Amino acid sequence: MSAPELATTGSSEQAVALEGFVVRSHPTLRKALRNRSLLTGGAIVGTLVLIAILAPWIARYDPLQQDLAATLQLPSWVHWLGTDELGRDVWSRLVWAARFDLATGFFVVLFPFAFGTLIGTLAGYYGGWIDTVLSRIIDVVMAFPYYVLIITLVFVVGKGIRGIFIAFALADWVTYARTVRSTTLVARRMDWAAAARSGGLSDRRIIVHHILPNTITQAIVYAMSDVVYVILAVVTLGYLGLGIQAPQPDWGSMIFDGQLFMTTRWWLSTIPGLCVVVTGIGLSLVGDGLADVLRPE
Amino acid sequence: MAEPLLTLRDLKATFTVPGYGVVRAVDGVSLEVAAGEIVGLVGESGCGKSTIGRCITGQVVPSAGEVVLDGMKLGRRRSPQQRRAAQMVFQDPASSLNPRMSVRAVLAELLRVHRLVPRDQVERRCRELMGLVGMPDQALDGHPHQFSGGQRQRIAIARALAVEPRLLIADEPVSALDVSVQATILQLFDDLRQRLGLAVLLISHNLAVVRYLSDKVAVMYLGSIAELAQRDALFADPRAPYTRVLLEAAPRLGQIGKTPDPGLKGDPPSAVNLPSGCRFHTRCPRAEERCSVEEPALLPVHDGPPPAGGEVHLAACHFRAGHPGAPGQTG
Repeated sequence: MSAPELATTGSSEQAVALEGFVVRSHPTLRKALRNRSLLTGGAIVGTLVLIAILAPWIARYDPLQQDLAATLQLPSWVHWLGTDELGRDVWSRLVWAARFDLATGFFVVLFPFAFGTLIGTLAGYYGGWIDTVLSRIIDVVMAFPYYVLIITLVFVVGKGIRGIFIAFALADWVTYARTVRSTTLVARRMDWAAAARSGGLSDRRIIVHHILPNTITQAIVYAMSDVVYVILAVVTLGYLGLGIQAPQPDWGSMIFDGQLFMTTRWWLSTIPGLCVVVTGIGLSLVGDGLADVLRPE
Repeated sequence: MAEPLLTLRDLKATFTVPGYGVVRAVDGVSLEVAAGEIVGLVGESGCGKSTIGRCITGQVVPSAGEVVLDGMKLGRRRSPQQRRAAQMVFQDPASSLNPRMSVRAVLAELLRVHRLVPRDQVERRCRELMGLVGMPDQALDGHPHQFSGGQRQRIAIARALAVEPRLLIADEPVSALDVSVQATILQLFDDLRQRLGLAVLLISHNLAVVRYLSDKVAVMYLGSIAELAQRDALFADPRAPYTRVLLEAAPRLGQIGKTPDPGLKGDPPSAVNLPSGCRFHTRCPRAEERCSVEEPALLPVHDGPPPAGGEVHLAACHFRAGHPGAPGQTG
């Protein structure tokens, strides 16, 4: 290749016209509507959320209403899923538990998501001693086995929803922080990050407008599976008697209460268990689908 | 000659690599770029040419020396005003644009943050920038993945131009592009120089690219300038042995069947342990006893005053004054 060869390739306008391009509208939305995982998961989670929202109308009885004259009844048109050992309507409890467990899952995840993303971004973007300090803190929290840490914290802080909230706030943010830190490390080395810096933009603007839109998708995807983990943890804690306190209906405590009657009334434990499974599958599918849809091209 | 737009004075950049040593990537480079001038910076990979670009934009902090741009001494901490003055065009079109941002978002943000145009003029200016780099207005709505490499490079140039820089640093701006697109991008640089009076520091390992576009060429070897001259003088009458070897090694059309003599054997020595004396003496076909002891300075190859209107021809070689067999040079 030499200078004359370079010069004979025609004008810039021609080249651009030849290269051609198409501007598609809302490529992300269109990808989302074609993604089967996302659609299936969305349908499952959507149904559950709808049930949770409509609980007051779908539940046929007060979930706390005891009827000691009609305990452990078989499913019938009066009690669709029968009654439990205190004569409470199982269908109504299941529906109210959905409302409670789903809301708990989503709200408990919010703080770890936001705080972990913030810490991970600061560590990854600034590097140096900030990264060293933050990463060591993350390592220390990570060194504890996850469930043991959660159970211990709930035990120390106190049972119930407040304990769960605080325990997850303290223990769960590190996963987000670590994920976001590593994606931020990659992003800030990109030429476009250098261009933004040499374009005279402030660090805050670069982080919020340039880096975060590239890194937060990882955190969002993880948050979906994290909601499942939180619900599982709440259920586990409920099973251990450290979670949601009676008489509040919750899938975990329903499984626990029902196991005494496993041989004769197996559905008392099994159906809340299946609810957890279905929720988990739904949220995982949504997470997988989002990972595909949000991945930059 | 008027005050140059960019002056590098004895610039040095060193990196400490743990367990390896101190890498002297840039080792005392002085260079001037005038407004509206295109200066080519050539050399093998690892010779420090990219690091010089990064020192100017502030991505790398020089360990010594000065960067003076448009009368401003650029230090470690820079005002937005200072950062704007020099903009970079990168090699890899795949990573030079943020995949999450539309072209409009990128350009409009820069225009708004620096208040370069009144708010209601932002859209008009965005279209104008697209026009400058030969892209249609609709491209503003696009995201990077919708564009080809050449188009992305145009958009990256538009982004650099948005902040109204005086100097564009183009680091291998076409080496990742198809040959057919390379020419159009190079023409764009020439175009912009003529229309905006923009100075360009063109960093490339490709002699053809540099020859095509540059007014002045600096040849680098192992962190320092081996030869610096006007383009035609340098290509017609190279005085540093390194430049001659480089020119001879470049493949040319019309040489079918003839493999060019590689001239240079092996890799350049490590930038951690620079050779004594002339840093090129270990590979130089002309090296003598003296070269391994005494480091040659970058000095004029001709005696007497510099030719009128032209730049001095400088070379860092003890034998710069003449080579046996070299064509005679006439001022």
